Amino acid sequence: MIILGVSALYHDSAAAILRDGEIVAAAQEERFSRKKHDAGIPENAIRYCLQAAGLKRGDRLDAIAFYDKPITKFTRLLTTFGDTAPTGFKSFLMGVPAWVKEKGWVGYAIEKAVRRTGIKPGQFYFPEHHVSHAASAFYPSPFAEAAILTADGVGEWTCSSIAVGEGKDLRMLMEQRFPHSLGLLYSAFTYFTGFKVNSGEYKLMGLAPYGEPKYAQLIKDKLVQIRADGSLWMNMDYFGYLGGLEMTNDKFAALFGGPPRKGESAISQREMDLAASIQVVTEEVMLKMARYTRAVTGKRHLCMAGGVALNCVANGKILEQKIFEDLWIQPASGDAGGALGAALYAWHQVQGQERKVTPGKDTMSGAALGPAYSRDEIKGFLDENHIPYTELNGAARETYLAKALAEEKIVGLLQGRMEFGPRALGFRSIIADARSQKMQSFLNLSTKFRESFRPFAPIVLKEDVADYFEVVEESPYMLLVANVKKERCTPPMGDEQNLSLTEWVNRPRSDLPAITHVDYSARVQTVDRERNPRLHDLLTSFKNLTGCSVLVNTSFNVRSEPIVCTPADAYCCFMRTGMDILVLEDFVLEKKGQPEWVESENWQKEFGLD
Amino acid sequence: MSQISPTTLKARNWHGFEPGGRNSRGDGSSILHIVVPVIVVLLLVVLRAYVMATIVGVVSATIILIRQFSATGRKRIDQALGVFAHWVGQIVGVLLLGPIFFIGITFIRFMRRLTGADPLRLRCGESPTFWLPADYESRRRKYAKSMFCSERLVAGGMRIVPLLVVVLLLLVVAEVGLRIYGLGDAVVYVTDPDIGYYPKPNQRVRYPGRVITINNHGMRAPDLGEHKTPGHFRILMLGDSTLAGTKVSNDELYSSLLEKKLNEAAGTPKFEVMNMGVNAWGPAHEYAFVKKFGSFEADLAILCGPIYNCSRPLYGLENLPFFPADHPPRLALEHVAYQLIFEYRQKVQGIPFWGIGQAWENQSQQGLVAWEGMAEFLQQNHAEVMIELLPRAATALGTPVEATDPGPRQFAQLQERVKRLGVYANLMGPVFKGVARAKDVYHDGVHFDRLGHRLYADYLFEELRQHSPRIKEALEHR
Repeated sequence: MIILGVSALYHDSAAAILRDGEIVAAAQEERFSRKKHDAGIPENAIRYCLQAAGLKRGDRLDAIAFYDKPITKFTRLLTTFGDTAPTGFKSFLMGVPAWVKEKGWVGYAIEKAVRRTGIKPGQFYFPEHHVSHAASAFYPSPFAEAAILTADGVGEWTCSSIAVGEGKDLRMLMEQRFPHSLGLLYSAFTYFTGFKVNSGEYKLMGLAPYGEPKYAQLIKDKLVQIRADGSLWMNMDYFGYLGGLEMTNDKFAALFGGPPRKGESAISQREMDLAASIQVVTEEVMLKMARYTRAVTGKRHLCMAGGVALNCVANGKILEQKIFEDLWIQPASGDAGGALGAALYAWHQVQGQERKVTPGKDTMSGAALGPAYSRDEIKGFLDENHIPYTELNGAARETYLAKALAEEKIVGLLQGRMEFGPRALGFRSIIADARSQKMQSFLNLSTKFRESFRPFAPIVLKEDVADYFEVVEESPYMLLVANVKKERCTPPMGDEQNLSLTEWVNRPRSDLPAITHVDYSARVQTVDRERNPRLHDLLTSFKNLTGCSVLVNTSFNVRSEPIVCTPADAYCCFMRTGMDILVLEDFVLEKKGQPEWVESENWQKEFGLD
Repeated sequence: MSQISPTTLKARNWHGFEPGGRNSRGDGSSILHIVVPVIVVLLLVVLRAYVMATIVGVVSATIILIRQFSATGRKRIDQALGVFAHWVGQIVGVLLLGPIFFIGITFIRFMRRLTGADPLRLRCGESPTFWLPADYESRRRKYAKSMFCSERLVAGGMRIVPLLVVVLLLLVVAEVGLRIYGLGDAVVYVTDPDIGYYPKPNQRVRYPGRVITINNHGMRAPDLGEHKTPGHFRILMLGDSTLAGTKVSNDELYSSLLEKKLNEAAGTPKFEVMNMGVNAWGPAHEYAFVKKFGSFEADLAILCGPIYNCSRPLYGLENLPFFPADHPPRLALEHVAYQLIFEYRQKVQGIPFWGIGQAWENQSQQGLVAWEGMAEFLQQNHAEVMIELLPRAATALGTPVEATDPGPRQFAQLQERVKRLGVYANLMGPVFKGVARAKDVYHDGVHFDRLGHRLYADYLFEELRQHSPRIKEALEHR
């Protein structure tokens, strides 16, 4: 039985496909369309998934599951306007036509996209948004039974939920409803600090360590009431998103001493303090929710999904507090993962199919669920374009790359299947030496063309993680933040708050300066041989050469660009940036010796700003 | 060293996707770009807006050609059309959604405030917890159909829904169009066990190009006082739709024009002409009407209409395309459907009350009896009576009467009947012969057009001057 899952029309459209319950493929539309957070019908992703499942013209899909229930969402929209009218007409004028034109008919649009491939669509299911998230968190997890916590902006009505998964069964227990949403609270601050909603939340998280949480109490006094069970109530007098087009209003601005920061303007201490404050509040809520979830469900394990579950700092705190024995977070926790959850829901809940659980092993295949490219395809591409390369296999390749990395060279990696989810996990990654003092600034400014304050994540051999980081034993999906081992850190000098962001960033904090954030934390990815053997080999070679089993790993893209998908995308990105070496499977390209790269216009405009 | 750029980089079809994605430009859109302007132009031609049709045609053709042959031109045009469509959409959106939002949804908010309803829990800040039991199962039951049925799309099975939406939208457009055209409002009738039906008093109905006004007695005439003004001369005209007029306003009716001519001839507005013409009436309806409501103190009563009306028995609204007063048309579409259904039934089934053979002959005799009885009744009510009947349109325009035409025979029988009452009866001859073309006089072979009303008013004026003693007297004593 083949089931296609789809998420679309809000942000991060995606498709996923199961064959007899096994995850065959999953991909986000943005990787194909090259439009960041593409919200359209994921026609390319659907095509890729159908192809990956081996379907041919004339075949029939058994079922299609869409990740939320449009009719329920529409009732929420109308109910909301019933509490704001006669203000909010502009929002009504934008929202209702979108529903009439597109969102109300999403099933037909998906059916059309499937039909265009010559494949017949099957039965449709519309599980709720948070049910899809919960399914995406529990069914692929390594746990036979677990508590499930989901939190994001909003689905239909639900903003966060507690559920229980036992075998193939998934029971939703509790929920918090719109507009009282932890995700929307975080997004309100994202907006207010000048970043894009649904895109810049992780920047806010990265900015938090630079600030002091001096507004945390004010937030709790004025904006949000937090109960001991982690539930929250938001004072909508301060927010604009009920009937308006902005997340916050004038009252909110007055509370925090002035209007929102304009995008791309200088980041002031206020923004850093606001980021720190909302991060503290978020962590408090998440910890309380986790404790309540444990109490309500009695389960030893926790699965998490939803956009808020990408807050790896809060995730790290949950792990650190040992509220649960173990934690598994869906690597595609955002809306993209909803596509996978919807398909899994249709398989286990609707079709009633049993789960096969292998303890300690999830079914996400290291999130490598996207397209891969053969030797012939890549060679053909390079030859057609007269691009010089060297073909290196096995140990020769790893040794060559380890040496280059040790010489502070920046390497772009395209190997294996593309990742599903927002993180680059070594299949479409830029890697560099974490020991290099200049690397964070250099990567940010010359390779990624992004804000200098943004931290980089480390990849580390799983077996060596304890040598470098506290607490974490395994973090294959880069969804947990842990502190760098104390003995590796340089104590703060005490004057950091007086420094400019760039000066602060450039000040060494440990013997792994490129991945140690200003608060001595790092977003760790552990690399094991089973999930990613080639990356494991590379790290091992690097360790053999340098004694260090840690590298910088950042996504293979520039600011606002979706992570590269094809070798052509990778080559463009390589030639446009400060990368020294590009690896396309076994083909190694050095920047020196490449044809002259000519840009006809300012290519960075192609992607806009995120 | 050679050069390479993003545009010269030969990317492969990495995933082997066939064309036809959402960003591809299919033939469908090109065809649509041609079909839509053609339809618009045809529509404008049908509406005789030739200048507009030419402008739209030329502009559309230019756009199609540019889009076809120039990529830059296509880009620019698409941008411009996009901006145009955006603003049109905004305006249409405001017009359509404004009332829903500002009236409907604001009312909902008002009611919520009134009842204390708080579905978003904006006023629940004091609750001990903000967790709620997961409503998932109840929502699943509530929206069961939308989860497993109504939203279920099985290969091609649910295309009916968008089809229904399109049909619904077309109906809305048709309704709006018909309303603009003037349909949706209709003269309504009071049903009466004695008379059958008559127009509901005090109506004003706007049709395309004309306004029908019905006075306080159900007549197409100005309102009448209960009693005649001393010194005034009242003429009561009774008849069917040829008198009621179908495509003209009140002041264009031959009754109104006759009143005007008489007053001009009298030099003073002393003549009042009461037009009691009602669609599809026959002599039985007219007789029943005067028996019930009297002669309205008329000095002269003129029985009008085609001679063939004598075959109309007394009937109600059951088989007629008219709306009763208690059931006016709610939609313009209903109005049109009512008319079309009637015409279809008439075509397929014939007119139910129209007898055949001897039954028709008997009905005709009953009609002649009704005219005779009405004439006698009106005389008893102190009115002079004249009978002015119409032949077929062809006869009036000069075509010789056919031997099978029952009209002359029926008229002779009527003359014979009313001779004892001294009533002047006239069946109009070929008076329009050579005067005007048929299409200018009649709009449908039976009913007068504006010119027909004018010509017939002139004809009647002369008839009255020559054959009505009271008119002669009234005009002589100016």
